Amino acid sequence: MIKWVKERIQKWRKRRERKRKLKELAEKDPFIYD
Amino acid sequence: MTYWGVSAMSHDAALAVYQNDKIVYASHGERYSRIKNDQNLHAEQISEALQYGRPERVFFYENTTKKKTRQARSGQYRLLFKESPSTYMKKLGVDVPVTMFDHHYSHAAYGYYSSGLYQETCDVLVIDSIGEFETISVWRGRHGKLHKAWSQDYPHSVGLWYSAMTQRLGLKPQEHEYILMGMAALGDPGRFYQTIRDDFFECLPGHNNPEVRFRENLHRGCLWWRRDLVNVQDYVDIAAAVQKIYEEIFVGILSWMSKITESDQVAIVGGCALNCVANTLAYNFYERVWIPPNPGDAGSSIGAIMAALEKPVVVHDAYLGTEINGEYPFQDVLQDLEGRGISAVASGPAEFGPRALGHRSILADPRLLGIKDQVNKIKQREEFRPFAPMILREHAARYFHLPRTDFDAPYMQYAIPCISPQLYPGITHIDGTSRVQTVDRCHGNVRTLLERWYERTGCPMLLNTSLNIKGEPLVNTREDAERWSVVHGLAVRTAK
Repeated sequence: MIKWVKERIQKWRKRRERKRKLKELAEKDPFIYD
Repeated sequence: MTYWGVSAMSHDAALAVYQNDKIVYASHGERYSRIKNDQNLHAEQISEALQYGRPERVFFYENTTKKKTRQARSGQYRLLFKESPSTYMKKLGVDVPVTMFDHHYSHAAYGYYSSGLYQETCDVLVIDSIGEFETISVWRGRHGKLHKAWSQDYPHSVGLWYSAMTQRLGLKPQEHEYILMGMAALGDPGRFYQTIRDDFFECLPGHNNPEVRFRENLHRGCLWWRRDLVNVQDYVDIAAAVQKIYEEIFVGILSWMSKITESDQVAIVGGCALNCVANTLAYNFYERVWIPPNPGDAGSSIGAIMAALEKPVVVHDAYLGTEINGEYPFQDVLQDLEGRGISAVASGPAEFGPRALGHRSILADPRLLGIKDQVNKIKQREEFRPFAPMILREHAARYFHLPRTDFDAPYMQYAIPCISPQLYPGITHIDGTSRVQTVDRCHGNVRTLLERWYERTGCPMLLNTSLNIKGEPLVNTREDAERWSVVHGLAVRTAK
């Protein structure tokens, strides 16, 4: 059970980090075309 | 039967109306909102189109479902929530069925079915930034049908790379590519040629392979590239190298296309078909080259109609937009030209396309010294940028080195070497070329104006540039013209 919770937290952290990076990238270098 | 063709919700919104086998109206959204490359249609534009009756169906220039798949893949998540074309049209008060066509198919249909080569074989090259997934496609038109022969997909896009380099030079991507093309003539292409090839390209097209592969996805531009290059000389040298590589890619694809088909005719469409310097090179591979008046996405509003009907639709000329009714002001314009050497005119239907072809134009005497600076000052443009000439078609060979004896450029799509550039500095670029508009009977009043000018002066040519200032769309209505006269101090002669 504890292992499962740890894994979930890790996954959630990873996802949050990826989202933050994408947001940062979008602010720094936005797409030049739709 | 009335159909509408629509290109909107991305950039360069446009609306075309088909009725009784011909296009009776076509206009750009930007001319109404006064926002360059506006992505939306406008109420006034819709009401002009509704004068031809309600449409039975709307043909949309791209498949937004497929496009959203690509946007999801490239990480453009916000765009996934954009409304559908059907909802978009409903909001504009047009509640009719909407049919979508693939982006490159709309382009190809516009190129093929407007080329006058319906019964013959004709190759079609579509080259732009991105459609749904496609970035370059090659089509074969035979017996009235189009077949896709080859295509290349995102993220390997020549158009995106050209736009990314435009942004790298401090210009606006998806808008100022023509400035990069103009800058190219001032620089040394050799200085950065190899660096750019090595840094960006995995492979370039050639006689046996049309593929272009990039090392990086340039969808977010390339501001990271060589941050040490910051001065003006660096910028013009980069522009020269970019243009040279673009021409190599263009020539490579055409060379491959001409090898695999027996056709001696080609239609070129897509945003990259506005690169008039490269376009001229197509004559090295094909006997006849056709580029429709509006090869970018806005033109696909007509293309979507042609894609749906799979047959040629009569498009008489490029004068399809908002009408300024009355007689063309020949006398006023000629008087201005003989007096000040410069005149502005807004008369008849507006041009549908990026070029002013005499209905919303600033005209000037190309023989005058300093005329280029004078017009550049009015238009608030960069000093190096050249202006285009319009010339009576039968006189073109006396002034320009035409690629073929029957050469025709009614929509200013080719840069042609001038025979005596020193005599006409106002209409010649630093590399000795001009983006010629050959004026024929299809140009109506503009032809008459030029004939009268020739009778009076012996010069069959006028400098012709769009009636706007840098960064603004073309003047559209009589009110716009009056406002423009007041703000910029040059009287616009409108229809009487």
